[in-house]
Amino acid sequence: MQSAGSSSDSSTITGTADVIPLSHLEALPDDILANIFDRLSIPELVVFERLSRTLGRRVNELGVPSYLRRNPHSNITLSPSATTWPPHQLLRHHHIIDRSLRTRRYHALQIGPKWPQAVIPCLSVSSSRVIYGAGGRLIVHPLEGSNTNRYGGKSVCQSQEYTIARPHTGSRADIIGLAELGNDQLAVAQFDGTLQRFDGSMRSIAHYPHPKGANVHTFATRSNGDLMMTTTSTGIVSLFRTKSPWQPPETFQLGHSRAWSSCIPTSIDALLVGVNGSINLHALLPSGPCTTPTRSLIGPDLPSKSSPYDIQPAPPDSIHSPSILLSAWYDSHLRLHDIRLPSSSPVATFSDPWSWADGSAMYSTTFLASHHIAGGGARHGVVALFDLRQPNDGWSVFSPGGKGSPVYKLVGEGGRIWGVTERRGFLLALDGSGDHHQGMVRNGARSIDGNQTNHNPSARERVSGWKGRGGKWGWTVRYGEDEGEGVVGYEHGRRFQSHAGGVMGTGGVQLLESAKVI
Amino acid sequence: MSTEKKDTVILQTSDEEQFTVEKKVAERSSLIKSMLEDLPTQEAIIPLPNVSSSVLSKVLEYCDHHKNDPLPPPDADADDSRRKTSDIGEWDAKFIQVDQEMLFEIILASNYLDIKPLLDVGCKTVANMIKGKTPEQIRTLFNITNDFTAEEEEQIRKENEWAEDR
Repeated sequence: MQSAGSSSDSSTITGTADVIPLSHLEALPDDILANIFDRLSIPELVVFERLSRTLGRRVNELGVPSYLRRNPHSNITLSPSATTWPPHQLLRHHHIIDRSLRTRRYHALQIGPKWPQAVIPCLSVSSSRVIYGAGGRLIVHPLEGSNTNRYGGKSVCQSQEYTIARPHTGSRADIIGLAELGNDQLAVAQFDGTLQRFDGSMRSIAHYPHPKGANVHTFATRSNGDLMMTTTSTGIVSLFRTKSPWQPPETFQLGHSRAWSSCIPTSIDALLVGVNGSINLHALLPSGPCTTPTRSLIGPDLPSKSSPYDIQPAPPDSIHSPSILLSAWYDSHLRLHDIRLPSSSPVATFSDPWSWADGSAMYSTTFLASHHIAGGGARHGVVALFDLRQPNDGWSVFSPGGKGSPVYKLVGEGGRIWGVTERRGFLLALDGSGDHHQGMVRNGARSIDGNQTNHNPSARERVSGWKGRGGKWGWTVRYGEDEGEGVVGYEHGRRFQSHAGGVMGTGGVQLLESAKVI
Repeated sequence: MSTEKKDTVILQTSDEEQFTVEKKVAERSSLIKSMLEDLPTQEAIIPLPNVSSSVLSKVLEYCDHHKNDPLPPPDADADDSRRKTSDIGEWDAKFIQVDQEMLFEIILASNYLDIKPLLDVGCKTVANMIKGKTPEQIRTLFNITNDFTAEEEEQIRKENEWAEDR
């Protein structure tokens, strides 16, 4: 729109008894005012509502919708769905999340009881349920909106369990991958090569013929659910058409012995396979997948080499291009690649200095809120959070009960991080849902009953095994093994400040207590 | 169409003043640039009925200083990145130190003439003037009449209390 001219002569509020001349600011055409609004924070935008009727109306018509459009969150468990929220309500939700991330205010809860045995679990989150694959069992927690019709994240309800491994198969039939396929259907891959599709009642409705003779290590689906892939210990990649379970998969052999991670992005027709040294793209042609890599994305600068343990494409409805890839690496870094660029190197790299100095890997990663990412560490259930705009200003949280365990999988959304360690699932909330009664986890799904009977609530434990370059991890940590006790986190940057004499917290580390869950 | 293009163009303002301007400078305005492409080249007097001479001379000062900058891509509107920063270059910051009347005139003229970098400098300046101020300070600064009743204003303040907790 082209607009010009002096505003003073023609711009007045009409239709009222007293004609009030509009200020220059009020008289600006929409596109210019939107340009100004787009440079303001949420509190600055909200102030406009109070200035005058004209500006109040225009900030609600222009400023708020534009802000939400430019800062979308990829929400999974909002109730009701974000598209039906009043814009003002959604703006408030964004504000709470932004503030929580900035001030490190978070709630942390375990979901369900501790599992009897340590397993390498998997996790999927949809708008209606959270599912853990733990050993041979599927643990399904329904999600429900609040009883009071509160706008916010859904709460986790009591689970139902389904044992899908046949008796006496031991860990050979452990579930290694889960994926929602839409319409309440779920794909489940097991270590022994069983690949099935389940309906909403957890009845198996399709079996896929998997190549025999090797164990399945990774499982991935395309987000629209039409393609599924597995990789095995012998380096065989199998590609399945979800709707054609009778068809044998298209397979090819990796040059390397095995893949550590895999992913099917939506932005390009390709399979992504994380192998020692790189993430390899195998183009998907009409004739099938290319058996040799079309491109390779590297981690650390050569000659260093590392392995990607998790690969996540940017989610839909986010500020990121779908061509952005986030990955978690053995060398304790998270990396962002842009596959539109010709370079094979990452465009950004992130690490928790404590985990890095400890030499512990990043096992999992996810996008979060608008500008944030999280990484699941190899030790003590650590979840590291980073603002993409300020990579050196990260912080980390010891997830509830995560002592001694890697964080095997993370699923991030607007203001929540769902994760899983070897004996339990957990939820980290930055959306304030922990301030509401049963706002995160309903009583029936809390871990109060049993499982911690031998634990002394007053015990504090030290992180062990700290032998890295930075010296011993010298502060006392609560792992939140006791319901309601809360957990701690720490600032990344403070460690370096402590050398300059700016000691905060214990041992030069600023600790971050979780907020009390109501 | 003549193959030899003139190096200057003549711009005529709303108060009928004519400015002879180096073409390269005038073409910082996407509006003028596209008009020049459409006009017969020989007698290029471009009427700008929405811009006064005092504002145009200020705008041309900006265009002259930036005449060698790379032109923003045509789809710059779609690119949000230019709206993310509140930084203004040193020369631009000095340039835009004008009274409020002129500031808004420059913003309107740069929008009409389609000079996106100048429009952004103007909008950034207004946004920076707003940041960190109370509603009353903003009203005073921009001469905004508060047409709410005290009760109405208190009601809005209460509804937006959540945003005060920064």
